[in-house]
Amino acid sequence: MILGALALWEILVRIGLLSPLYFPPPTAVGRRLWELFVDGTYPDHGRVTLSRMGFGLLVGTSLGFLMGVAMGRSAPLRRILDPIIGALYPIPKIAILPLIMIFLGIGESSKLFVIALGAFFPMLISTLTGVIHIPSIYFEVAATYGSGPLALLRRVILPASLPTVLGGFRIALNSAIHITIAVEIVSAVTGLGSLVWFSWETLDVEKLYATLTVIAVLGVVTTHGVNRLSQKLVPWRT
Amino acid sequence: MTGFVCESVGFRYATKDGSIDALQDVSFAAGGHEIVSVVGPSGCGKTTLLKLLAGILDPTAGAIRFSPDLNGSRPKRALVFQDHGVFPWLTVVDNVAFGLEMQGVGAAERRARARRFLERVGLEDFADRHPHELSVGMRQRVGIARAFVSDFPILLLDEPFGALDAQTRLLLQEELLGIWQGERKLAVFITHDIEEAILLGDRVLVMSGRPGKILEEIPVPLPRPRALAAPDRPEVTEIKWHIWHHLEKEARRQLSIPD
Ligand SMILES: Nc1ncnc2c1ncn2[C@@H]1O[C@H](COP(=O)(O)OP(=O)(O)OP(=O)(O)O)[C@@H](O)[C@H]1O
Ligand SMILES: [Mg+2]
Repeated sequence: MILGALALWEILVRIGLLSPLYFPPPTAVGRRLWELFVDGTYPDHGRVTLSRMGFGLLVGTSLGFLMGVAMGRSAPLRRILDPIIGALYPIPKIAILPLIMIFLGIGESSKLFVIALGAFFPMLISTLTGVIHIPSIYFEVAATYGSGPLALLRRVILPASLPTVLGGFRIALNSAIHITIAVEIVSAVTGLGSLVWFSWETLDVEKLYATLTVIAVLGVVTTHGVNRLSQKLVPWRT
Repeated sequence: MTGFVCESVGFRYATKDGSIDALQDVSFAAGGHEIVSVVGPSGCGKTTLLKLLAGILDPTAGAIRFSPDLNGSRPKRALVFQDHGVFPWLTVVDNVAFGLEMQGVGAAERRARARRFLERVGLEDFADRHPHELSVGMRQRVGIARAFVSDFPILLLDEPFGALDAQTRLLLQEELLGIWQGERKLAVFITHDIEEAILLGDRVLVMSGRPGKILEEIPVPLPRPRALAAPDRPEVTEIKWHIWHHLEKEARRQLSIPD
């Protein structure tokens, strides 16, 4: 399917129906991609992007999970925090980057903060939903056998909410990818997002397509990996 | 002596639209090595009573005193839940071993002990499966094994054999009697089945419809050890009809059917 579409594209450019100015032929994009790969551009910038995303994802989802559990288990906490979260969640995280840069400077930390924030909210909301919907009988069973808070978290809360939590992690991953690229486009000189922007500034359309391909592949591979992982982690049915 | 006393225990559920009185003025004592059967119409508060005894709920009126009670350290109570409450994410053997795990028993030992109990309830071949691969009756047996293996001095059983066929039920009733006999536990046994209540219990508490009160306490004069599969005995039949009339009246009252 994809190969067919690419072949059609190539032919349309070759016979002059598509302008190579907007639609460079796939073979040229492929060649460019390969060059930028072997000269180390993509590996270097890809690593930067991946580590920003990974760090933001790790910090954001960990905090989101912990806070989701706390809110899921405490009705008073929910009453206090629900409206605050409701107000903050819909704000596009990229829009508050300038504000964060005022506080944290234009360096790496403000970028990481915004990425982590993007991962935090979906994880928080999914975890909260998952924990609230754990049937109370499981808590009653744990209580009758004297489970401490840690055992309760590890043996009941985490596994019982895991399917929903993993769903939240997938959304958080997606959000982290978006925001990382967006942050790099608007304010970075390294990372795949910055390459997208430089390609535009220099009207290097082949490089633009090549970089977008790399980003797409990155997204597909990480999402696929998380999907596989969640199937492995949840071998039961409720 | 291990035991407890319920002193005018009441329980009221607070719900969104008002409150529901589930139990009212429930007083009885149980202690030592006995089985107390409880029967009563559906919705009369039997499960609520067991949850109060298990410590999952606290009485909204009256009090439950346990003995021995050393600075708040009370005899441990294992509850077999009416809806089994087996964890879908744990294998069968880890479900049975859950109570032991919470007591800090090491993995190898608690699994070995759990496997021995799985044999006794006929589930040894399913030890490493997940509960969704089991039938409802099999899951109920996992819940029973989990409570028994924990070896707590008080056993609370909420219609544990409800989902089982007659033969399996008989085997597990005998298993329960065997465990109770061998390990000298105190057991509170809830059931819908009047005959089961009589055959297993030293006493039968008959509860009224909601809010549940104790209408009558009937001693069972059968000697122990008892043969469960024995043919109908006249004294059993007599008690059975006595309880039956009580419950029929309550059921009519609940369903607003005149006598
Ligand atoms: N969590 C709850 N919230 C509100 N009301 C409840 C709750 N649990 C039980 N009730 C009410 O309390 C009453 C007693 O319930 P309970 O489960 O103790 O009855 P039961 O005797 O065990 O019934 P069954 O024989 O059908 O199991 C019922 O009328 C029920 O509607
Ligand atoms: Mg019940």
